[in-house]
Amino acid sequence: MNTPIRMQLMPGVWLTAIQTRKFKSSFWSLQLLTPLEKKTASMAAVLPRVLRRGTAACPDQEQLGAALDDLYGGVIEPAVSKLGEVQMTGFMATFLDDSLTLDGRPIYPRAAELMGDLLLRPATKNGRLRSDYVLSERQNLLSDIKSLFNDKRTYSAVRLTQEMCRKEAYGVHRLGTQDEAEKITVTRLDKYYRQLLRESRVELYYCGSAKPEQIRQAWVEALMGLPRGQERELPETVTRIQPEEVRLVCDQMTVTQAKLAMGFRAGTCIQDGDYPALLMMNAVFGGGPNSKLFLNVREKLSLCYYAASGVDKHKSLILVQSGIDLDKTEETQQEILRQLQAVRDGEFTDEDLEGARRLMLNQLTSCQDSQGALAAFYQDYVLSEHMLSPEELARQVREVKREDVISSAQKVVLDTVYLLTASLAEAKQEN
Amino acid sequence: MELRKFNTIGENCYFEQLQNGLPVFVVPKPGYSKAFAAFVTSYGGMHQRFTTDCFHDTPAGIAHYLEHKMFDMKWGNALQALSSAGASPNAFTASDITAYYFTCTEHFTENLRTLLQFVSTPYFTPESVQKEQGIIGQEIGMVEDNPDWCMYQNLLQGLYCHHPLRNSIIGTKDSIAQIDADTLYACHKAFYHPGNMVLCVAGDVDPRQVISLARMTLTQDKQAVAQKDYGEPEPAQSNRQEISCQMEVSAPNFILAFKAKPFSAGKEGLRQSILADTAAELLCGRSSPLYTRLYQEGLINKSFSVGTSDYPQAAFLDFGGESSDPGKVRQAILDEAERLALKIDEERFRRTLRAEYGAQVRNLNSFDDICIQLARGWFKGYHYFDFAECYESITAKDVSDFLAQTVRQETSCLSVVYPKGA
Repeated sequence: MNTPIRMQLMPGVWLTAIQTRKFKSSFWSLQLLTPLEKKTASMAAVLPRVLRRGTAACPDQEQLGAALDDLYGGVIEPAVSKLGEVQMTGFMATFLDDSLTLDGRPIYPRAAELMGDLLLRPATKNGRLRSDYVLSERQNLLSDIKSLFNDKRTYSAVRLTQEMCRKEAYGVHRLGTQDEAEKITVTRLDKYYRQLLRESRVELYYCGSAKPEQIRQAWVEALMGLPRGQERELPETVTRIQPEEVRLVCDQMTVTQAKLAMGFRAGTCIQDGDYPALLMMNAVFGGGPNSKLFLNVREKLSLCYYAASGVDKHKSLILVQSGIDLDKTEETQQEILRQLQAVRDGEFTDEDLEGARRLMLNQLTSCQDSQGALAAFYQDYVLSEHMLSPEELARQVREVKREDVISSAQKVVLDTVYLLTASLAEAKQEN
Repeated sequence: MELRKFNTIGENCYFEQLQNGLPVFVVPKPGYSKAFAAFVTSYGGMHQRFTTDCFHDTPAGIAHYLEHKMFDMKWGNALQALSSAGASPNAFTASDITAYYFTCTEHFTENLRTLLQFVSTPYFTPESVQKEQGIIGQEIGMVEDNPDWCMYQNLLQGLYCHHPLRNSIIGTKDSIAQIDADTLYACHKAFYHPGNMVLCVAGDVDPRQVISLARMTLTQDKQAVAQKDYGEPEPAQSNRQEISCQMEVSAPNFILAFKAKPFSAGKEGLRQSILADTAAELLCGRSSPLYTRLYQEGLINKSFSVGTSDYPQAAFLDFGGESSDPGKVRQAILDEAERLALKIDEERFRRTLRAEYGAQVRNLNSFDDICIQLARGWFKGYHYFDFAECYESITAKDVSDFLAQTVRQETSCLSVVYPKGA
C-alpha cells in the first residue's frame, strides 16, 4: 500500500489520498471542520442528514438511489464526529473499486460528482433547503439523541464527559443537545449551511485504486462553485488542565447494575512526543484482556462485570468505565485507583509490558487491513502538522520503555467520578 | 490441489478434498496481515431429527449446546489457548450450520492446529454438561425478553406448518434439560466428522501448508453421512397470515415474510437466491418508488430492511422495521408486487441488478463473509465465487414470474410486536 499523499485543492480544501489495489471498494470521506459549540452542534449534526435526502438533480431518495445503483450500488451516509474541540460533519461513502467494474467505465468521477452535488446543490424549495426534509430529519436526530439514554454504558460515558468538561467546548456531544435540536428551523439551518460552506475547512479522503492526481481532478470539478470566504479558524483543543479537586457526580435511575465511570486528565495528546508512551500506559492499565483493570478488578476480585480504560487522544483524557453491583462502588473505585498507582510505581512485569506492546502493534497492523479503520487512523492526524502512518506509529511504540510508561502514568490526574446507580440515598451511604 | 481463478471479481481459490472427505478452501489475500480460518459443520438448530444406524430425535437447542461445550478440552479451554496465542476466536450456531473460527496476525499455523483439534475432539463430563444448563438457561431468559428474537421466532411459526426451522435454535428451558453428555457425544459423532464439514481459510498463507496441516491433524477415516430429516414437504401457503405479541418497545416492530418455493441444489440454487434478492430490492429496496413513498408517508423509517433467507427445504423473502401501521405496509407491498408481476421497467431492473452485484463484490472485503459463504455454498452444491456468472442469466421476466408466484396474501405472514398496553 502506498503512503498517503496530501494536497491542497483550493483555499482551505485538503485531500488525503491513498492509492492501493488491496480492497474491492473505494472509500471516501468529505468533512467540514468547524469549532464545536453548543449552539451549533445539533445543526451541524442534522445538516448532512438533510442534504442526503436529495440533490437538485436527484431530488428524492428514489432518484438518488437510482444514481447510486447505477454506480454499482454505492453507499453514501451522513457522518458527524468530534476531533477534540472541532466538530466534523459530512459524508462517508464506499463504492465498488474502479478495477472491478464490468463495463470498464470508471466510477470515481461520478462518485465525486454525486458527493459534490450533495454538498453544494441540494434539493431546495423557494431557494432554501426543503422544509419537509429539515423537519423529518430534525425528528430523527431528536430520537437518536433520546436513544443515547437506552444503553446505560454509552450513557454513563456521555454523562461523564459532559460533567468533566462542562466548562470546555468538549463537553458538548457530537449530536448536540435536545434543546438545541428542537430549535432547528428551516431558516436557521439554511443560514447555517451557507455560512458553513463559506467558512469551514474541508477535508477530503480517498482510498482506492485510482491515482491521487485523478482524484484531485475529480474533486476540483465536483467542488467547483464552493464559496470560499474567510476561513474560520479552528480552536486548539485545550489539553492541559489541572483539576483542583475531584468532583463526584451521581445520577439515579431504575437499574439493577450500577455504572461507575472515572475521568482522568492524561496531560498528553496525539501531537505530543510521549503519545506512544500514553498508548502503552493505557494498554498496561486497562486497555485489554491482559490489563491490570481486567485481571485484578474484574477477574481476581470479581468487583465488576467489565472494567476498561480508553484514551481520548485529542482531548488528552483517560476514561475508565465499569459495570458493578450496586453495593460495590466505593470498593471498585479504590481498586481502580490502586491499580493506577501500581503502574505509576512501576509494579508491572516485563511480560505485562510486552503483552501491552503486542496488543498495540496488533491493532496498528490490522488497521491496515480495513479501509474504515485506515480512514479513521488518518483522520486523527488532519489537524497535526505531520501525518504519521500506522507503521511509523508502530515503530515508535516498539521503542517505548518501562520508564516511559511510568512517567506517563505519573502525569495522569483524576478529575471527575460519575456514578449511575439505583438510588441517590443508597449511593451516598456507600461513600 | 486445484487452483481456480475468478478474474471478474479478482479472487483466486485453492481447493482440495482430503481422503477423509473434508473439502479445504484457501483464498489467498496477498498484502493482508490478518488471516481468518473457519471450520464449519453442516449441522445446526434445524437438525434435531436424523438417522445414522438408528433414528435419533434430539431435544431442541442441542446443536447450540454442543457448540458451547466444544471449547472444553482435557487440557483446558480452547478459547483461552487461542486468545493467548494472539487469535480472536469465536463460534456461532445457525439453523443450518455451526461455525468455529478465529482471526489472527501471528502464529497462524499454531492457531489453525488448535482449531482443528478442539472441534474434532469431544470432551464432555456430566458435571460440565450440568453446569452449562444454568448458563444457557440464562441466555434463553435473555433472548425471550428480546423483542426482535420473539418477533422472528413467531414469524417462523407463522410461516411454516412443520418444518424444523420452527424450533428455536437455542431451545427452551425444558428442552435443554433433557440434554446430557451421551446425547452430545452422539450428535458430535453424527455431524462433526470431516465428510460433513468444510475448512475455509482466507489470508496471505501458504495453501499447501493449510492442507497438509488438516491432513495430519484430522482422522484419515471416512464415515457415512447421517440422513437429516426435514419432515414432509411444506404446503405453498403460510401456516398463519398474522401473529403478534406485546412487549417493551417504543413503537410497533414488524417482519413481513413471503414463503418461497425452496431453492434448488447446485448452481441453480445460487442463481435463485440472487434472483430473490434482486426481486426484494426491486419491490421495496432503498431505491424503489415504494420505499420512497412509504418513507415519506411515515409508514417506515431508517430501520426498514429487506432480505432473503435460504435453508434446506425452506426459503422466504422478508421485510421489516418499525411502523405505525404494519398492516398498511403489507397491503402496499402486495399491491406493488402485483404491479411488478405484470411488468418491470427494464432500465430499473438493470440498475438494481448492477447494484446487487457491486454490493456482493464489495462484501468480499470481509474474510468472515468469504469463508462462511464458501462453506454454505459447498453444503448447497455450488462454488460461492460463481455468483458473478449468475447475474448474466437473470431477466426482468424471471423477477416478474418470481414475484407473481411468491408475493401473495396466502404465502405471507406478518409478525408484529406491539408496545405493551397498545
